[in-house]
Amino acid sequence: MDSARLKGNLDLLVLSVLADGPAHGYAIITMLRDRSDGTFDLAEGTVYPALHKLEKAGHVMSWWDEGGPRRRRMYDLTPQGRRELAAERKRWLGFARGVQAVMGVPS
Amino acid sequence: MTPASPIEAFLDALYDELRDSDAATARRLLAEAESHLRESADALETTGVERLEAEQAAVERFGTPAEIVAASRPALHARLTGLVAGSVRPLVLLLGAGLVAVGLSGAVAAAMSAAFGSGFVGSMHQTYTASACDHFLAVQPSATSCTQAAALETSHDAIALRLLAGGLGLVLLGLGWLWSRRSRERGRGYGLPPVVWLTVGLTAFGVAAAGLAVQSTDLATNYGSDGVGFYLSGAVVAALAAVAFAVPLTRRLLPVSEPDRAHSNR
Repeated sequence: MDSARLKGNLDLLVLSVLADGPAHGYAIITMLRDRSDGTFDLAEGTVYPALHKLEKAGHVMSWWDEGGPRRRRMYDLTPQGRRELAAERKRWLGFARGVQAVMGVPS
Repeated sequence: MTPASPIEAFLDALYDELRDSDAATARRLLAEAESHLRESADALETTGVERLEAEQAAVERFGTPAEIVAASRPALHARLTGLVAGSVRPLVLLLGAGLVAVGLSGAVAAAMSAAFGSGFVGSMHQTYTASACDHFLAVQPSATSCTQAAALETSHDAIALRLLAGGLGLVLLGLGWLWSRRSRERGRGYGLPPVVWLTVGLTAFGVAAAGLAVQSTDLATNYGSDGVGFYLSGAVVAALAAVAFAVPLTRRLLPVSEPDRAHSNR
């Protein structure tokens, strides 16, 4: 997948991964790659600015986890983030159905 | 000294790239990048890759420092919008401060008029036409001459209009304050630094104070006290406003001495 299209949907993808529970940046990027069978292979570091923007928008919250062998910044969805994810998901599915219909791809 | 590992070399490069970012963002991004890179390298090492190669691969997968920093910056339109808002906001506050100063000069003019008579503020040293005199005498029936009626009317107008401008200035200051507070809460910090706006305010009020003081002195020299208050009231308030801008500006420009810094850190 081209990186511009991926970056345009990175917020939705990150929110979707976090819907399963709190995770740190490395785990988020690993889940993105694994769940997409390697299709979403973006520069790993770009997930952090995306997370920071989502936090600034109030969609995720974060804290330092000092428990493990390495200090990690953990991220989780806020109630507002869950609502945003639901709305974005609905928009995306509607868009995808429209594109598929135009292209003649059975949904 | 040569960095000990690709990860450390990368973190040094990222640190350099982040020098224009705010401190909190830079610190957090560096800490998260280091944690991520070491975890990524550890994971690769467990598959049998040599440590140096594992670190190199982790760095390559992370992206370049420029790429990461570019992604952390807002989109161009957001930056432009923020820059325009960040420049208009101080202008609104400056305009509000200017109008409030005009309003205060109205209050000072009212005090001067009460203390020294309406001629001190309202006397304009000019000859009026018969129709103008009729108008002044009609709106100021207590006056006994055209000159006195004109002075009273000019004084009243000066005070009332300036106070009206002051009220408008308070509204603008309130709106500007609310706008600034909202922008701070949303973390939008664009626009020129406060030093620029403090300098603009100091210059504007300083020039106004000097100009009005010269005008007052000129009137006092040529005509005595009549009409001096019209300009002097403005000069006094403009001078005080210039001082109000000069104090925070000086604090920002002068280096803080070590004992002061230690005291402020306590």
